[in-house]
Amino acid sequence: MTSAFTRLDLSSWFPRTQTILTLLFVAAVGVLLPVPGMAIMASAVVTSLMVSAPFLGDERGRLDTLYGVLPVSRRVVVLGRTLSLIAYYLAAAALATVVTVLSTMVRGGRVEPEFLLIAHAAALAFVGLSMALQLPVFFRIGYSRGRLMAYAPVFVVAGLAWLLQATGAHVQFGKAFEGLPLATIVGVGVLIGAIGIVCAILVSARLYRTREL
Amino acid sequence: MTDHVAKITDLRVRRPDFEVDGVSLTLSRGSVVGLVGPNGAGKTTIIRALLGLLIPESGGVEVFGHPAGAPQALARTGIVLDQPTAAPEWRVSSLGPRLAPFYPRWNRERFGELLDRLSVPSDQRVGELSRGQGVKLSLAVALAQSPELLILDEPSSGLDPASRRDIGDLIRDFMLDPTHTVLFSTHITTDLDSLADELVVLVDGRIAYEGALPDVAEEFAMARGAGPAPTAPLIGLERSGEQWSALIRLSDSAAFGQEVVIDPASIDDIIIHLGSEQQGVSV
Repeated sequence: MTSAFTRLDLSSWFPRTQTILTLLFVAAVGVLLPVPGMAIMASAVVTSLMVSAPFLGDERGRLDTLYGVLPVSRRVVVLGRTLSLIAYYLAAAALATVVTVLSTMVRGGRVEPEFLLIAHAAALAFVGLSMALQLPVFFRIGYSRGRLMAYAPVFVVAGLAWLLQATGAHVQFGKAFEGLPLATIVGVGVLIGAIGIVCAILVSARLYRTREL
Repeated sequence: MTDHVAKITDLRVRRPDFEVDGVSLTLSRGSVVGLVGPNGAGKTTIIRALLGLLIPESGGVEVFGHPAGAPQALARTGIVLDQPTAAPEWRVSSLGPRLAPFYPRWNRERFGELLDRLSVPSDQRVGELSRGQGVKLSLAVALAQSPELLILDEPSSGLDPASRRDIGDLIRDFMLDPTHTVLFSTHITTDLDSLADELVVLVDGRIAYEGALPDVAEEFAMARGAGPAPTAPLIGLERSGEQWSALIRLSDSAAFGQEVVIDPASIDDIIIHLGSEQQGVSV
């Protein structure tokens, strides 16, 4: 039932102009910016911005009511929506990878696989934390009351980056990763992302179970 | 097989400006229950409670022996709300393939037949449909699920008479199966005359009357007169100048003199006068 719900949910928000434009934005970042990992990070940033999109669609089309009366448990709704967002992220990440490799080749360079792995691990960590921050709020109070959360992950990361820079801690932060094995760095990123997604599902399911629709 | 499909026990829902207070209601298998009452009486709240869409302060709601909102109950329940619940950009014809995986008894042919019968254009997007077409689409979706319980929340508000007749005909067809049950909330009480077996009148979040629809004519009547109102039991006395009118129990009619005119009571009379009686209003 979860896969059927994921398909239904994806079909409710993925084939929209807004979604296509965000994917085009990811491609444009990869083509226009000379720094190779930027498209991959852009795929994570647009995913965090897109987390709110299906909840907006719920309110416009009364899909929250539809999902409330479909014969599936609310846990399935949470799981299915999270999977549909992960599907979007995977599409954006795949596009970013292809554009990154191709545009670097066109510029006469070569992207190291290790670099791609690290970029994707960082992106996944960001996506996981974004979902952990946003999904419980949207599942609990919906888009209208929670829409500012759409920008929260970007502001949090930008704020932390500014803080690191302002305090000079960014140098130590960078050094902390020097010398670490690739597997550790990638593993930490994947672990943070996975924990974020699991927490998002668990907390959202708990909050959505008692939400009035 | 139990003789009821849904049971609400002492339901209490409190909101800052609204309250459902101790409603108990049983939907018997094979019945058409008309749920009527003024705006804000609690009709939609009761329907939402049956669907598990709201969390009551207290009380129990079970449907087909399961808690309200349980997938096992929702799989056997068709729902018609005042607007379709579908993304505006979805095409009408796409609703079948989208929803069928969730309903084990989804009838694809029936869905197509219903769209044709109700003249819902299957190539249009949901957002392009008129209000009436939207309600008809919701009804087609609900009936294609082959439900045992059909819940309709104000489906006929704002619809033309022909559309209301179409909806009534489909409900009558649905009730040809004696195991089917309908809960029909409406403002347009004439819709119930030829449909409902039972009537539930809600006023201010409480059940003001509950009984078999044919019994209404045997239980209530309207009394009208001029001058001082009689001392006989009156329900929801209303005055307009010298004239007065009130609902009475038919069993009390002997207590009125010949100067009092006694007519049959309509469902609207019952809603209005029971409502003003419950609110303690004498107009």
